[in-house]
Formats: sequence, structure tokens, C-alpha cells
Amino acid sequence: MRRDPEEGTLTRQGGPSILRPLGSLEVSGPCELIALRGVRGAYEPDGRLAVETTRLMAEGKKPPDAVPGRLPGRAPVQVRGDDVVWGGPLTFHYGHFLTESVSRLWPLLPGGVLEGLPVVWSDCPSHPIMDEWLKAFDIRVTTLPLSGPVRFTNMFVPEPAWRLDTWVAAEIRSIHLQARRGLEVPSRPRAGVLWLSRSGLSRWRRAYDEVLLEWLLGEHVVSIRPEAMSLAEQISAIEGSEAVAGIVGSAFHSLLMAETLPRCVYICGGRLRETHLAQTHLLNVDAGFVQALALMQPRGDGRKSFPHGYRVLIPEVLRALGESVLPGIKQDPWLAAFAYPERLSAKMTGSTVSALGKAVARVLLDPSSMSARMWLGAAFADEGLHHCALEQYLTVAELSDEHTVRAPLYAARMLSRMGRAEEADAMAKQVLAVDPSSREAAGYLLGS
Amino acid sequence: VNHSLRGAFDSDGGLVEETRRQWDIGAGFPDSLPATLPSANVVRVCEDEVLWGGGLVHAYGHFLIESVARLWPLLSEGSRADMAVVWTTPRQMPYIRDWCEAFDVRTFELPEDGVMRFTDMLVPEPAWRLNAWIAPEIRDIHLRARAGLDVPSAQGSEILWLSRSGLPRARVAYDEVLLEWLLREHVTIVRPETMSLAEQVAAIEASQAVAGIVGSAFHTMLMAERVPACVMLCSSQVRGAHVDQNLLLGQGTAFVHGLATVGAAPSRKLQFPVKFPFGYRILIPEVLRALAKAVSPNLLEDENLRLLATPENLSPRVGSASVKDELMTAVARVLIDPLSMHGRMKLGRRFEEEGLHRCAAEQYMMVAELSDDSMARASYHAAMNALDEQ
Repeated sequence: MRRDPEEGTLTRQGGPSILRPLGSLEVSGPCELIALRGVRGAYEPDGRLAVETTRLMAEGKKPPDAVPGRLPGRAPVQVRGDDVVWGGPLTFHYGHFLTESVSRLWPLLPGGVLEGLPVVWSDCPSHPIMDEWLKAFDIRVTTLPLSGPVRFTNMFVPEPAWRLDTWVAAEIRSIHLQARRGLEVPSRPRAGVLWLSRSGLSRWRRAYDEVLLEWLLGEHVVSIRPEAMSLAEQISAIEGSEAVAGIVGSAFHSLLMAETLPRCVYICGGRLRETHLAQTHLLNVDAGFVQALALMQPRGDGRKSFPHGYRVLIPEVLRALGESVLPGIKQDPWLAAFAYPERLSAKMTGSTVSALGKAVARVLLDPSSMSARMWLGAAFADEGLHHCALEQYLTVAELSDEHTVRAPLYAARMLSRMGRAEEADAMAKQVLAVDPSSREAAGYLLGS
Repeated sequence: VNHSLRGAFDSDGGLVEETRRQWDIGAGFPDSLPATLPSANVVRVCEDEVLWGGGLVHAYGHFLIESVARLWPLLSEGSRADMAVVWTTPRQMPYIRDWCEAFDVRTFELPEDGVMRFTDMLVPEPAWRLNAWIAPEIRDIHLRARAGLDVPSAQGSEILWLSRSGLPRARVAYDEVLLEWLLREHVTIVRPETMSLAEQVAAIEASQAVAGIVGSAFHTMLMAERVPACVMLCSSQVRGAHVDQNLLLGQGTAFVHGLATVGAAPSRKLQFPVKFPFGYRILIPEVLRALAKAVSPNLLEDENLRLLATPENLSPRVGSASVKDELMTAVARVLIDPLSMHGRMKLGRRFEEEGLHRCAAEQYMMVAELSDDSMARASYHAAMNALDEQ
């Protein structure tokens, strides 16, 4: 049973989107429009912006791109009389590429009214994932010159199949399935639950404690880092799994291309982006949205972008997975203990765990305790689990004034042991700024 | 013996260490004392046999476990049963008066100024030396006091909640008012600091279980003729005194890690000295589950409590439950994301709408202390004013 997020603790961010049925989208044109590389919209012959060529959000919401209202400056350097299709801005960002940039391609599908015509993108960024997708779709591109406007006398402008927070049309799925057919997807061993990890992203784009959660989940999940994989590898992993789980993010949009759709568990903060809800409705996928991210600090100081500043609520995630896609967790005494960490208190159930387990439980119960995190870091380091220790030390270094030397020093030590010399150097400099006499920190400087 | 010094001195003026309060094994003296008697101005001499009670500490818990710990020789029959007790640093607190009357202790009145010389003083070992030992005599001491106490009849309760929420701000944990409101139909909430000693003992003896944030109020159980089950909410550290008492009483107390820190923000901002458990918040889902597991198996039959015990179930996911009540949804949001000040302000407003001004004030106060939200402070004062008017 799928339920609306507003019934629970989550509030919707954006939307609501309507689901448009197949065949309800329209194409305007052919018409005369002027396009200029780098400008995310096309212009009428009289120089006015053709608004329908830009990215639009919900009614009344400011458009995401700053596009001049009139054609900037010069006369066209080229005039093209061949039939072309307006593709719009080609966005480098993974999720926006999959949901927006390719959303006008539906008339190019086999049997479509514009099949075989070239596409004009306003931008020409290059990224392996984008190149892979466009090649798989087998698209022809008309490239805009580096400078100067081009006047197209026969340009078709399809409605986008996904206008964020407004509508999503069934055609977006057809577009991605077409690309999927052209993709050479490697075979992969069948997996139960696939964890779409964010823990390898930059520190400003990851949540606290995800490394810890991944370590706890161990062999119960197959954890991947989508940003390190090709598109085909990602699709292969998704199609080969029974369920996909992780912190909500753009990696979940890869599901748009999957021929077989696994169940999904999205780990969210207090807000659920409409985009993911709309995708769930579109794909009719069995999905759960679990609020299991919490702020680490009372104020939002220093947060960069979601989910930075949040920590994963590990007991809540374990219980949610146990109730949905990973019932085996309940039979694993190790994980069951962490799903209900208060039972590790004296006289509750008599559960016993190792010293490392106790250190984990203490962090789960008292996540703002920096001494608990330092203790856990040390316990991980003793076990040679440097990446787990590093996460704890970095958390303390970032959030606390209590361990201004020890936390970054220990983080530098872990980074050095992991062979990440440049990062160790940066962390050592942080230590030396506070304690210039630290010999150990000096030893982690590059060239020392 | 000097009235204001928590130790006795020998005839040479040297401090007699076994008369001091001592903690731990080895050196651990909580009271600062001079090595020699500062003034030898003996104003009186007593040649009667007396019993050294020690420095009388008026803090409730320390009174019960330390100040009366040397009285065990008075339990025996014979001439020593009527010895006068010499306590220094005496304070008149209602519970001290009640306890001493109940035990029928005869207190030796020391002169306010100068030194009193005793020629025949008995110095018993304390029956409880903190973090070192506990002897069965401490229980016997309190049971004698209990026998002399006029304990009123009290209404029986399944769970007696020893509340700290009415204590001064510097000694209160966050979210206890919220927890008490959630538990209101399932526990009997008492504020021990507003009750007489006899009323406290009556409430404890009439309950099946006693629960609350760990603190000195739990030491009243030393006096209870019938000792109930017990759940103590602790931070990551359990004080040895409570563990020792549990061993002595054979209670099988559940010590639950049910308090978490909220970071350094409050202590940085506040102008008054704080004491445990200030700066901690109660882990309400964990506490609900612990209470159900340890002492109240039916607790989670209450649908709201069952949902809040696993608040992630309020997320919209397969097979999950739903709650339509906006107030309970606001509570769940705070439980899942306790440092979201937005969530707490929203919950405060919901409580205000329901006329629950004390609950609202707690939420606003937390925002005011943990963030720079001036609106929270204003809302807090408004809620407190509304509470006063009620």
C-alpha cells in the first residue's frame, strides 16, 4: 500500500505534480527561432524570449535559469533551414539531466512524429554519463557554434515530458527505456538489497554516519557508489537487485531506465522532494519514504547542500529496512541489538556485545557526544577499520570545539594509513594551525 | 569537634581521617579540611559516650546514603542504643527533621563557636562509603526510620514517575514535560521535592514500579518496606551509588541509556551554573520501549505510544501505520529530528492551540536556549504567562 507523505512526518517540498497520460504532450512548430550557445532558451525572430523553450518550474515559481528576456546583441551568424528539434538546456547535474534535459526527446522515439531529426541543445557540456546516455539513445545533434546566434527557420519545440513540480508524463519513461535498449548492460550477480551510497561524495554532499551504517549492514546489502560507475553498470546493479535503498538523491533517478523495477526505500530528512514522489507514481514502484535523517546541530550553520549537516538515524533505518525489504535483519542478533540500542542497557535483555559494539551503541544513543565518537573512532582504528574511524574523527573535527587537535590529528593519521596523502596533508595543516609543535601532524605534510 | 568542620580532630589537634567523608578506594575526600585544628579554643567538654555521625550533608541523596551511614550501632539493644549523635554542619531541612524524628535519633547540640572536646566518642565505619562499599546495615538503618514514620495510605499505581520537570531550570533535562504528557494516562507523576518524606515513601510502596531520570529521589527506596521494580534513565554513565543500591536491595533495576546530549550550545549561552541532567534530552522512543520491555508490557497497546516508540513508522512506507492527529505528528517530527528548531517551534504552537502551555513553554525554551531565535523566547514568556493565568 502506497501512502501520501503528508499523512506522516514528512512534508512535501515542491509540487504537487500531475501524472499526464501517454499521448497528452504536444509539439509546437515548425517555427522560426534563434538560439545561442550557452543561453538556456530560444528567441522569437523579433528578439523576444520564447518562454516555452526554457526550463520552467511550477506556476509562480522563479525559473531555475537566468535567461535574458531579449536576444543578447548580435545578428545571427548562421541561418539553418533544416528541420531540427529543440532539446533545451543540457544540464550536467545527473538527476536534472535524467529528468529534464532529455524530456523533450519523446517525438524522436521510434515511430515518433519527429523521428530521426537532429536535436539542438543550448549547452554542450561533456560528461561520460551524458555521453553514454545520448549514444545509447542514438541521437543526432546539431551543435551550436561557439559564438553567435543561429536562426532556425524550422524548429520543433516539444513540451517537456517532465516539468518539475508541475507534471510528469508517461513519455519520460519511454524515452529512458529507449536509451536502455541501446545500452550494453553487463551481467551482474543477483543482489538482494542494493544500497546507493553517498559516503564517497565530497563532505558537503554526504550525511554523517553513513559509513557506519554501511559497515553495520555488511553483507546484508550490496553497497555501490553510483558516482564511480558507468550508467550501464548502475542500471545493471539496479535491475539485478530486489530492492534499492539509500539516502534520497539523484542516483534514484536511474530507476527511470531500469527494465525491471525493484522495491525502493528512500531515507529522507523532514522534507520529501516532489520529484521522487512523482517518479514513484510514474513508475508505479513499490516505494517507502522513511524519515531517518536528523540535524546534527541545533542551527543550520555551515550546512552546504543536502544531506550535509544531517546524520543517518541508524536504529530507525535498521528497523525500517527490517520491516520492509530486509526482514533478515531481525534475525541477525548483531543488527537487532543496534535497531533497539536501549536494550544494551544493563538489565534490559542481557544482550552482550563487544567493546566495539558498545562504542557503536553509545554513539547511536548519544550522537552529539563527541567523546563517544572519539571513543568509537579509536575502537575502529584498533580493528584496522580506518575508513570507519575516519568518519567519526571527521565528524568531531567538523562539529566540535572540544577536540580541535586530537580529532583532525587522528583523521590525518587514518588518511595517511589509507594512502590518501593529500587529504592527510590538509588535515595536518588544520592541526598545525592550532598546535604548531605537533610532530605527528608535521609528519603527514606532503614532502615531509 | 568544630561545628563547621566535617571531621574530628584528636587531642593533639591532628585530623582523624576515619571521621571524614571518604569516597572511592584510596584517597577520595569530598570535603576540604585543615590537617590540624585551626583553633584549640575548647569551650565545652563532654565525657558521655557519643556517636560520631560525621558531617551532615543536606543534599537529599547524600543525606540518605552518607549522613546516616554511621548510625548502625544505635540499632543494637543495650546502652549504646541511646547514644547521642554528633553531626557537624547541621542544616534544618524538612526531610532531615522527619527522618531523624522517625529514627528517634538524639542529636548532640554543638556550640556555634569554638571547639567541643569529647572524651568518649565512638567512630563507626560508615555503612556506605561511596564507590567503595555498601553494607546491609544501611538498609536496616532506613527500615528503622521507616518503622517510625507515619506513612499515609497512597493510591496504588503501576508506574510511579519520579519527575524532575519541576526542579530549577539548571537541573532539568529537555523533553521531560513532553514525555510526562505522553505518559499521563499510564503513569502516576510525582514531584518528590514538593512531598514530605512520608508521602514519598507511601507513593513508592504503593507502586508496582518506579521510573524516572536517575537522581537522588531514587534513594528513598532505601526506606521502602516493599521495594518496587525500577527503571532509571541514565546518560552513558551510571552512577555507582545507584548500582550499589540496586545490588543491596536486590531490585533488578533496569538502567536504560535514555539521555543524550544536545551539544555545547546551552552551557555556552546560559548565565547560571548547571548540573546533571541539564544539557541532556530524553530519548523518548527508547524510553517508551524500555518501559514496555521492563515494567509495563501493555504500555504500547496505546496506539499513540506504539507509534511514537518507533516513529519511523510514521513515514509513508509499505505497511506503515498512520496518524491523523496533527499534534501527534508534530511530536513525532520532534522525536525523529530533535535538533530541528523548526520542528520544536511547530510543536510548541500545536501545544498552545490545545491550551497545553507548560508543554509549549518547554519546546520554546529549548529553542531559545539552543538557538538564537528571539521569537522562541517571546513565545516562551507568552506560554508561561498563560500558564500563570490558568
